[in-house]
Amino acid sequence: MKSTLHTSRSGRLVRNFACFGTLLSLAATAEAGNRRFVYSYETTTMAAGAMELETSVTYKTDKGSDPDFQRFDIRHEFEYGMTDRLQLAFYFLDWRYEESAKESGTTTFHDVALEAIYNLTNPNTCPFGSALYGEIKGSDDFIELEGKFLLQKNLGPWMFVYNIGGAIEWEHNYEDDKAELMQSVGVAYQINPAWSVGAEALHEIECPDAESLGDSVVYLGPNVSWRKGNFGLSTTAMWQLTHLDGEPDFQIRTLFSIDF
Amino acid sequence: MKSPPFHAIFRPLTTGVAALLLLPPGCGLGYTPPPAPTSPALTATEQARLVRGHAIHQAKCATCHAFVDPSGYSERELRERIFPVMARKSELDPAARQAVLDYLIAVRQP
Ligand code: HEC
Repeated sequence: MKSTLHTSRSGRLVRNFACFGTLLSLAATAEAGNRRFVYSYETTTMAAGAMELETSVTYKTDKGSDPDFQRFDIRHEFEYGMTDRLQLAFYFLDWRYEESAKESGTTTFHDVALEAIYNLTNPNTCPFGSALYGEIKGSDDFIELEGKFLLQKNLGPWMFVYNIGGAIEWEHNYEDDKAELMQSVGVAYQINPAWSVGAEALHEIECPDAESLGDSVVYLGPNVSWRKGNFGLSTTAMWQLTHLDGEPDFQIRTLFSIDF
Repeated sequence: MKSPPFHAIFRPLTTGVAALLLLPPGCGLGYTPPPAPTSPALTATEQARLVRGHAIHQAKCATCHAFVDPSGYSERELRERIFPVMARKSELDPAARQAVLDYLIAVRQP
């Protein structure tokens, strides 16, 4: 038995109002397990009380200005669903291993961080999903604030996400400040509930001061994600499309996560 | 080669994103969950439960993955093997569980 989907104009209007209502009343729920994308965020958050441990490993290499350069950034994170809309995360250990013209294979502690994602609209019950993202990151030498606006569109087995935001950092004993703007997109096709494949792109630009923008760096590459039971694995490899000598030409990030 | 200025990347991308967000759901790009079926054989309570099951499916199940057509599974497989695991993942209370299960079975094409 199957009935047809009948979407009238007034029906759409009612639905849009309903979405706006949910946005205000914060009554609806949104939850998600493991992430599909590794450079972009989805707008859905974990269910209240849900917990996840996630490790991300980013490898960067091939810098025009430094042929010896390679770096691993490793972040260990504990995520918790405070409410059905608010997800908090604590990055309890972020460290890196770097080889470059200056460093010959050093492992250093980099920072700890706190992250919050607040879901505004659910992409499955509203025309599109949206969320706010904030992160504060620091060590005894620097502090960084990051904010993003997240958007998501789901069309059958296709998922599209777009993130836009910026970060401001005070480094060298909180003296020098620098800022960065970023936007990223992700497209994924769900082959089945366990597997999805797609692509991600990242565009970053440094802002040396409030008036001027530095050079754009753009990356693009394929993404694959697999989930089974409580375990998830997602990875994206990206190549630089621009030709900035000071930025790595290749980077790959993998996320491993366990829900419990 | 010089890298392109910010606006050269920003404008086309945001225009594309805005156009995409305005697309109606289920615009032929894939199978979307059918609405709750109606039938004169159902009581008002049963009918209301199916409508609720569809809504909960959208709000809860669809956050993790797109709709999986239940027609691909036997009723027994759905009830006993798949649904208990998925209902736990979605943290559904007993009434919500019943509503989603009834909805899945009602839209299943034997
Ligand atoms: C937290 C994430 C999550 C939620 C919520 C979730 N699922 Fe799933 N679902 C998965 C994953 C991951 C798989 C595939 C791998 C596996 O079986 O673990 C899956 C697989 C499935 C399958 C295919 C099973 C098979 O063996 O072929 C069906 C059907 C399904 N889900 C239906 C549902 C329904 C209905 C709900 C809501 C009650 C739901 N899912 C909620 C993550 C989720």
